[in-house]
Amino acid sequence: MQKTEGEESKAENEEVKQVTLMTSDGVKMKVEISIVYEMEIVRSFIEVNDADHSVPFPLPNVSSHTLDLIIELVKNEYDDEFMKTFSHDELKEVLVAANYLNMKTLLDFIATAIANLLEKKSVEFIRNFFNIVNDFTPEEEAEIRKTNEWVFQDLDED
Amino acid sequence: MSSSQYPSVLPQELLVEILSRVPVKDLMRFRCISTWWNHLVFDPSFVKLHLQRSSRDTHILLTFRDYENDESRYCAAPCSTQNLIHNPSSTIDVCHRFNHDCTILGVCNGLVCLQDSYRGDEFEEYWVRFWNPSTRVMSDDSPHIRIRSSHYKYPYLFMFGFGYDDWSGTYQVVFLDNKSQKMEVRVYSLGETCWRNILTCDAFPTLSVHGAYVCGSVNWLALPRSSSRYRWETVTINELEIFSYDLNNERCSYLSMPDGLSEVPPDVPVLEVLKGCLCLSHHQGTHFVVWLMREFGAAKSWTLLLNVNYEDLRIRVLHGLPTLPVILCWSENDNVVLLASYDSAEFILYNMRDNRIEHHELFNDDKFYFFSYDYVESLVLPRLN
Repeated sequence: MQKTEGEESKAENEEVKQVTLMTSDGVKMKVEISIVYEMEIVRSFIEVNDADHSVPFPLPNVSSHTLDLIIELVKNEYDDEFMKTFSHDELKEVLVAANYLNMKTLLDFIATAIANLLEKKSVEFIRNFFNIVNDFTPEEEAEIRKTNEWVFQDLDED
Repeated sequence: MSSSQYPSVLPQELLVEILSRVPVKDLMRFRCISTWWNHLVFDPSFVKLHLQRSSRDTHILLTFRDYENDESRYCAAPCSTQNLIHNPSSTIDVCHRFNHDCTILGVCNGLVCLQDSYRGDEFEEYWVRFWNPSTRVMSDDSPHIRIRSSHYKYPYLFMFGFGYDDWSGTYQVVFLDNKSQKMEVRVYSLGETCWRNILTCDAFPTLSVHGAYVCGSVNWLALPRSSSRYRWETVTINELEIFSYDLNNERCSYLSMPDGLSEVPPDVPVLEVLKGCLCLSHHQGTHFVVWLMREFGAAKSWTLLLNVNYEDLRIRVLHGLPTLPVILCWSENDNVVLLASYDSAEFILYNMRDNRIEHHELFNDDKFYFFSYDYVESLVLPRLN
């Protein structure tokens, strides 16, 4: 696991059952160790470094807002209803963070949730959702549409 | 990764994480999002990842004959097992129709192997095509096998089977050229230009025409120790075995019948695949009996799945034995099997825990000869990529 910015990161003592994480927007957040243990990138560091507990563990790629959402998701044992309150951007932010933090269960959960969201959606919806530039010529795109007309039926409204 | 901002475009590995969980029909539409998406959908490693993530045992491929204006069509329809169990006749809506001579040799990873034939006076020709019902992509015809009809005399007939060799990643069609003295095993791999001769072994009387594919092997009921003057009535229980051809090591072996099968059934049993396991069904007295080989190759793992009186299935036995019912699907969670009975022309939903019929329903008009195959919606291409 790579160490970020060569900084000597430290974890809180396990006896406290909390670890302080420093988010990209400079917020220090005390997080229960059971939740931190789902973050492989932090866990592997805590386990090999029995060091000074006073310095928070830096997460330069995760904002405090995203970390809040992740903590709530884990606390709620990955509740579908709670996740449905997320905006599209929040879903993508949590996905990127889950990947960075190496949280396997969360990554699977959130990738499945986004996959479900894409079902029956139009090509235009998907391009907007992922910010994708269409690099087909109009003829090329028309050709693919023509050979697979049956997959363009019964779609949701955008 | 130094930016604290959410990147405006997701990295490709995360797109793959999402898309490998999206249904096939949606992915077929997403091909026209951009050139990268178009290539991804049929990229071999993506196809494999998508298949690994697809849930098994949620669908079957239902086949049947549909008589319309005195013409018989061979039909195939992917069905959700849950829908089928709860509403058999109305679940069959989207179906694909083939010409009369067409038949399905088998289904593997969502890829269907269709066999077609031409029968002349002296010669018969057989060939296959591969078809993915989820992407609706069909391959070209394979090279033809041409045989002289007079070379085959009952009970020695040729047999076919279809399977997948995980080790080499190839879909293979097996042809058992079963003449009275010797049997030649020939194999056609998807994408190749010929049928390869693999080996020669002892011939045996043909009991089932289409092989059952399980765990890298194609299996047929066999009587390896029977003489050429074979009659089913004189067969002893020790003679009945399963001929198993292993696609990877290209070798044949024999598997034993269930220990609990103590006498030869009055009719030839049926060997098929149910939820990835070999499944043997037969008459026994007035009962319909079904066995499942839970662990392929392990004779001790044969388990009795069903042993039910025809009266309890409300199949009336008037003259001799009824036609063997066909097992369309089995839900382990609900403890039910869905059967198709030709004598009563109906679907029977049988509860195995309470030993009672939960539901029965007449076949739709003009639909007959139902059969089912394990099925999964996949992106597997019926040609080499």
